[in-house]
Amino acid sequence: MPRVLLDVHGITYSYGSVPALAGITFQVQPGEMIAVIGPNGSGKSTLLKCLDRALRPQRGVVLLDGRDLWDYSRRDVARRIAVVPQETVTEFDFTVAEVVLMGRQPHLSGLIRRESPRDLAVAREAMELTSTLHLAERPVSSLSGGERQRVIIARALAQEPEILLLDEPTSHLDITYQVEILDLLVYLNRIKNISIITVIHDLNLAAQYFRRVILLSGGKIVDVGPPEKVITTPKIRQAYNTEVLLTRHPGNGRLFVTPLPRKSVEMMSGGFRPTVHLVGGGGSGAGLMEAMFVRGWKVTAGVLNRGDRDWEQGRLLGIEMVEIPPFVPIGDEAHQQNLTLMKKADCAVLASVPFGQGNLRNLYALEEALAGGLPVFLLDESPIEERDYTGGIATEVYRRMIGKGACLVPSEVSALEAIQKRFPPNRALSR
Amino acid sequence: MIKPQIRAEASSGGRGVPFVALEQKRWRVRLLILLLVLLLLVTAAVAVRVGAVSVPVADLLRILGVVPGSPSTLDPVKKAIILELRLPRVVLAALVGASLAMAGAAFQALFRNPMADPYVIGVSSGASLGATVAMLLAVDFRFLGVGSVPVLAFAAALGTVFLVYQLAKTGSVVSIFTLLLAGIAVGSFLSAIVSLLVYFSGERLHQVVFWLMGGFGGANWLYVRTALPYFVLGTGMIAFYARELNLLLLGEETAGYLGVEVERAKKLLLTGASLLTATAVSTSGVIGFVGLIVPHAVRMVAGPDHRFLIPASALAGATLMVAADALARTVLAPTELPVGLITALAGGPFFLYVLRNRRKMKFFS
Repeated sequence: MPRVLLDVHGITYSYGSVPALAGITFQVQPGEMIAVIGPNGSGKSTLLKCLDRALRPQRGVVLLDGRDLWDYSRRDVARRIAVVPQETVTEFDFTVAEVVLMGRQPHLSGLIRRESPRDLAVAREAMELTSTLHLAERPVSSLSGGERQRVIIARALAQEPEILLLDEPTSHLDITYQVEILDLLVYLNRIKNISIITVIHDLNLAAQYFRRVILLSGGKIVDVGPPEKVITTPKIRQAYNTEVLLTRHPGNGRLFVTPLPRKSVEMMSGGFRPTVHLVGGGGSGAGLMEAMFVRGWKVTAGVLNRGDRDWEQGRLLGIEMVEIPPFVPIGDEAHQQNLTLMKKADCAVLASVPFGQGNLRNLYALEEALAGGLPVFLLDESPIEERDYTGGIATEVYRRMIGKGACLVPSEVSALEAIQKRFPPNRALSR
Repeated sequence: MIKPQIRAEASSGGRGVPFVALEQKRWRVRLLILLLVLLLLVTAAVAVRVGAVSVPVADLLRILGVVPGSPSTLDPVKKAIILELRLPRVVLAALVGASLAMAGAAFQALFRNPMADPYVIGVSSGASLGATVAMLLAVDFRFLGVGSVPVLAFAAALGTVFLVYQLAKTGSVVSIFTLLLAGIAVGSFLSAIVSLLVYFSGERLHQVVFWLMGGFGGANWLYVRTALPYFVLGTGMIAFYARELNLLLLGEETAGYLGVEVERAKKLLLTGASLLTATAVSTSGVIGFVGLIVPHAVRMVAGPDHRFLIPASALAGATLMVAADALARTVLAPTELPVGLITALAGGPFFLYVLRNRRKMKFFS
């Protein structure tokens, strides 16, 4: 079993009668990189302060190597845990070298407490790691935001900590510096095996750089785990009360979060939000799914194989889907569920998906729903014949549906327009 | 793992050795301290020499025992003037000047406020009240040989600090901000009482006002001997916590992250600085300006590191006070001016000069 470095056990903290943390429990192993996310006032900074003995939890304990943090002296804690605070006071003109050397404070001893050659060497290494050596003689007050942040990180490294706590290290920085600081943290984590816990506002950076994320809301942990598990539409909605669009980063496949402006969601949905059931697969419906979601429409989907790109997109968006295991044909149960979802929907859309024996029942389900009076839109980006691998059965059903009134749309944009036209925003008024 | 590319690193001026410049700076500051010691000695020597009775340099050196010589050839009156009047006065002025400058430096760092001076938490108001009460009620007693005015002033000064401290305390934590506000409130209140007393002081008005303006008129070796232990104690506390003062400048929270027991450090520094201020005020009255401007002037030249700032401020403060006192008793001799008048008259313009020219004085920082 891996060693537990920091054991946070049921900590509760209130500022007067205002609760900030309520029963937080999690563990940190050596060399872990953890991002703490959550809306303003969710207790992120308070949590960080409880982890470095700045605040004493009213209930619960923080154990460092199995021993209560408050059984250590301030100095002993400072030798093992370093903090990069959110605000740094730099009114007085200390030079970078002087500020970094201050990080040696917890290691100095004796009456005079003079820095030894080793103290200088450690400070020097900290400056090399953070690329601040060339700034050594500059007054800290003359540095740019990004440089200053690196100097503060150098000071923290000079403490030779096992754990580095950072409170929004990138919040005041432009994107270049943000990336620079996070790259640096990853580098320090790998090179020095320092455990890093950082409060961060940017969900994209959290998803991109951290393998473990703690989502806080109202002083409680909503979820802990890898970003794919924690940063999901329903959990973000629960924590932030905000709609987000989750996609995959095109380059590295990591999560990509786009907050949806409340106003545009309302405007685009125009008051009435139709429920659209999407039939797709293999990525054919992902773009449409996202576009409809952004408009604020309620989207359902089925039947999709798990692991499929459309399924992945649906999961990210947190929509209701009928799902089956990979490479398995649609069974009776899934077919029935699909029909149920269609019945609840205002209309259905068929993406330009290829058909084989495995997913042919999706087409039958649509035909049945169409017969039951459900408006069906067929996205016809490529001719059905070219995507028919059923020996003509799919083409036949497809044609039949057109004959029975299914609406053919040539592109995603025209599909969206057609649905919008069919369900005008002011429809809510006439209801 | 490749080290991440940092913007602007490539354009830096080569890989300097980080602490060579720092060491050089520290040597320059040590040199500055040596110069200040010499300056203080010279100033003290001049101060001892000047006055209504002038003493030739050769005789002065002989009296002080610097140069061997037969004491019998010297005028015993001159000898007494030098040894029993001027020398203790100069020493006391130096102690008071050093105390105020160190206390000022400590309070400025503790409060992270450039306007802080030794009197910021009401020490001077308390001492004034104690002294005024002693003079107006003509309380006459001797405590360890010291008169009632300094004893009551000292007691009232420390009492005031204690009161302000208790007012600012919640649980075991003392908020620096509340301390500052409580100090101002209590100080104003006590000053108002002093003003009220002065208003009804009648024929003792001159004595009270003169004391309030500050001076070393009654100085003797007894004063020096009585003040010395408190001076040593207060100086020791501040000197020992000079490093913590540097860290406290970064903010209490950051100091804590770097391993400083913040509340303990604050308590000790407050005690040390208050002790120094109370000793200074009770022996010589309220002398303004030294405690405010000396630390600033020294900081502009020697930088913000308190391990140098504290001793350098002490030496500069001592020199300034000795010089100011010498001026106070010679400029309009035989009339003696309040020394606080001199410190303000000379200190103000000097400080403004330093303020305007600090860029030219980058030699040390």
